[in-house]
Parts: sequence; structure tokens; C-alpha cells
Amino acid sequence: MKKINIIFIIYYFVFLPKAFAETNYAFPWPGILPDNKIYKLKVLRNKIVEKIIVGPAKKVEFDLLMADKTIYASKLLMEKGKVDLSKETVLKGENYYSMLVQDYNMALLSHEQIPSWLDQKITLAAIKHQEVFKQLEDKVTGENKKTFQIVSKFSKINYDFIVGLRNPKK
Amino acid sequence: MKELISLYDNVLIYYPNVFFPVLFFLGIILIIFVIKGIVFLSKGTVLVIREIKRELKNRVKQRKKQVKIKQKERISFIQVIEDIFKKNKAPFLRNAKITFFRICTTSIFITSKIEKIIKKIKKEILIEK
Repeated sequence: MKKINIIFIIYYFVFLPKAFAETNYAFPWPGILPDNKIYKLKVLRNKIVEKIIVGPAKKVEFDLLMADKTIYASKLLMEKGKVDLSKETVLKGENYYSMLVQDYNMALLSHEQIPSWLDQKITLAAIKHQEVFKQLEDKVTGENKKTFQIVSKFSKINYDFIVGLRNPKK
Repeated sequence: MKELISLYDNVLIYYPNVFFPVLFFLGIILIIFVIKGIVFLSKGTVLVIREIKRELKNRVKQRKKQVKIKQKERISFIQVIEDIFKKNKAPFLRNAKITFFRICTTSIFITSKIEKIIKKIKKEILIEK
């Protein structure tokens, strides 16, 4: 477990700034985008699902899924030319990753074992999100870049927090 | 149990559009069953209440009949006693009169006898003197 984390951390700090090839991580299809009229129903559905999930590890999985879908939706909105909505969506996506960190902490406190595949996925997702934020930042100009820079910072903070949770200092 | 919870969570996360309609239809079916159950129970309770009322009425009627019968018995008993008394009143009085007269006559006879004896004794005493 620790070896895998070290490898990923090295990849994150050494290779990522110079990365030209994209991370091999597939985003799930987001479905209805935020510019749709019935998007609010989908949000309501997701909130209900969030409340009624039982297992702590499954909550983490759900938060990751929602973060991936929302960030990918933000990318699709940018491709459609809806910059403001894309900024709003990317913030919500990163908020899901923040919730993931909280639920990860709760899972560890309740002595729930997080599966290794989920841990790897969380790490890969963080890297992929960073790539997407960078791409979106490059596509916009002026003050619009600030949002994606803030989100990128938050993403790094969240990932550091998760690494800290995995390897607590004794 | 853990596997069931895991299955439930997986269906919820990855197939929410299947989960909620199924839950909705199950809810409707449950509501239909509950309404049917309520209707059935209400009909049953109405029948039970009717039966209870009927039985109560019958018992009250039977009780009233018993009370009337007892009253009639009491009345008839009193009447029987009265009849007996009426029947035996005249002979009883007659017998009482007869015994009274007999007592009187015997007492008179006895007193007359005693007086005779006393007279005899007085005479004998006088003769001796």
C-alpha cells in the first residue's frame, strides 16, 4: 500500500509538470449536462442517493464518481462555449472531491477498509483532474483563468490531505 | 448481510435510474396492500361489532326473561300460600272455637266437681264437731 502511494507521489511531483501524454484514466459519461432544463431533477436524485448510501467506502466511491462526472461535464460545457457554467460546474466537481476526503476520513475513523483499487482510482483521478483543470485554464483568457487556478490548488490540497490520511504521522 | 448492503449500495450508485422507479412501484404496491388491509380489517371489525351487539341483545333478552320467570314464580308461590291459607282458615278457626269451648266446659266441670268435694268435706267436718 505504502509503495504504491510513493510511486504515485513520485509520478505526481516529477512527471506531471512535464507530462505531454495524458493519464490513462477514463471519465464516466456525465449524462444530462447542467445547461439542461431537467438537470435540477438529477441534482435532487443525487442528493437523495448521497443520503441513503449505507457503507462508508461506498460513499467515497460515490463522491469520486460524482467528482469525475461533474469535472468532465465542465470540460464538455467549455467545448460548447459556455464558460461561466463551466466555471461553476468545475467548482462543484472539486467540491465533490473535498467531500470525498471527508468521507475517506470518516471511513478510516469507523475502521472501514478502503479497497486498494479505490485508493489507486482516487490517486489517478486527482492527477486526471489536474490535467483537465490545466486544459480548461489554457482555453480561457483573463480573469476566467483564476477559477481554474483556484480549483487546481484545492485539488492539490485535497490530494495531500488524502495522502496524509493514508500515512498518518505517529 | 454485508453482501446485501454492498449490493444495495452498488445498485444505488451505478443504477439510480433503475432503483428509484422500482422503489416507486414497490411503494405503490405497498400502499395498495395497506389500503386493502385497512378495508378488510374495517369490514371485519364491523362484522365483529355487529355480532357482539347481537349477542349482547340476546343475552339481555334472556336475562329479562329469566327475571320475569322468577318474578312469576315468586308471585305464584305467594298465591299458593294465600290459597292454602284461605282454604285452611275456616277449619282452623272452627277447630280453635271447638277447643276453646271444650276447655271452658272442662274447667267448669272440674270447678263444679271441686265445689261438690269441698261441700262434702265441710259437712263431714261439721258432723264430727
